[in-house]
Amino acid sequence: MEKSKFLKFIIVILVFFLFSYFVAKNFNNIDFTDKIVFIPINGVIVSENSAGVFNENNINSNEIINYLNRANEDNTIKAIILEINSPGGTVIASKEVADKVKELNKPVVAWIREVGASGAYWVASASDAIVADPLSITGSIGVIGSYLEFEGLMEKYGVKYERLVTGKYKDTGSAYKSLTEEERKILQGKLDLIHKAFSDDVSKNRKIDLSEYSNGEFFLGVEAKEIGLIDYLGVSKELANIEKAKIVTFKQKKGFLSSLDKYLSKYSYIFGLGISNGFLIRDKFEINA
Amino acid sequence: MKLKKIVAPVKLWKRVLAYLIDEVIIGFVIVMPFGSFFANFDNDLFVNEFSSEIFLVGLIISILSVLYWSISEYLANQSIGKALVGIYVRSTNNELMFWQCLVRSLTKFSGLLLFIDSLRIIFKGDYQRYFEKLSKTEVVDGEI
Repeated sequence: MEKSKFLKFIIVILVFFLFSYFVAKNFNNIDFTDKIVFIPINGVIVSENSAGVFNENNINSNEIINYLNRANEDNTIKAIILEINSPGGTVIASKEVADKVKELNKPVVAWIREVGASGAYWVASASDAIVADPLSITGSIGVIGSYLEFEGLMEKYGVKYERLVTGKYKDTGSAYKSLTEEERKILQGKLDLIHKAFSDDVSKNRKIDLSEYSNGEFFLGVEAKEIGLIDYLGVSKELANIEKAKIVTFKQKKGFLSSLDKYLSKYSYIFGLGISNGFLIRDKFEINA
Repeated sequence: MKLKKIVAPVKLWKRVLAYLIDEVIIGFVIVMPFGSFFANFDNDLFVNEFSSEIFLVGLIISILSVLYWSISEYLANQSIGKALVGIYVRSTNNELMFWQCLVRSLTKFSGLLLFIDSLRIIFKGDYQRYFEKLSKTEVVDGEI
């Protein structure tokens, strides 16, 4: 390389480096500490196996827990806001998230937007404070284990359920046969146990006895504030005076497969919402909070 | 400026190699000073509050990168990467002007733009990107 050309390159490198260095100084000095992180909980809270291709409105409990762990470990994050818009979820998934929220060593505020009911309220109750809009739907402390039963329909079309079991309760909750009184009692007993655990945990979290309101009824924000289900009425801007805080949000990375998943989900939603809800999800006994 | 010896057209792999070398140099010279800034975004936290700063830094880096190529090629008919690979930029009609260097480097603003711009090399086979055609420049293998 010629000497003059070499010199030109050196000058170019030096000029660009110095320019970048002085410009970067302004950005490197920005204070990125003391952030408040928003963790969105949108949709039905489910465990990993229940979140599938055709269930776009579900949110995986592992995903939420992962965000919570990372927010907890990140020293630049000072507080966590759970942005809840969920009608609830499966018992285990909701409980897992609620338990994790209790383990966190940072202030956690639950902000209920349109709905924070049932399992989602369970999660919210585990936080340090709950904020909701006066018209948000919350509460609904109850357990549901309903499903569609096709025995009559099958009989009508001459389809017979061939029952082969090794224990008389093995197919309790099967969609292909009616429940016996005994089975109904067993299932109701399980639901009652889960309900008690749910209700007790929520009462413990809120430090008040909520058994009176643990009948599955939902409450609007204004009512919930009165009975102690939530702490504050407000919307995002009033939320814990965070107008001037540095807000960050966890955003899920979308790979090709998950994008394809979303694309397929949307089309399945358009073509068969009723079918997927009626037959794919509730053709067996499932317990949800 | 006249060419002494030309072994044109330049092979695609040489251009790619020169580009990669330049990207490494840009990484050290232009991007590295912003290292402390980028260190704040090491996970998938979506930073609402600082999104304008992230955009601005990205814009500054892209503009500086385009200027690095434009100025180097204007001053020396080569960027450092091209010099190491032994290829040159020249004007197809007259002496190389700065605007030509700037226009031919505009698509280096982003990798995707550059890729689309380079599709002409693959499909037309005349060894000129769309923006090289537009700026009346070409890359040649030889000595100036």
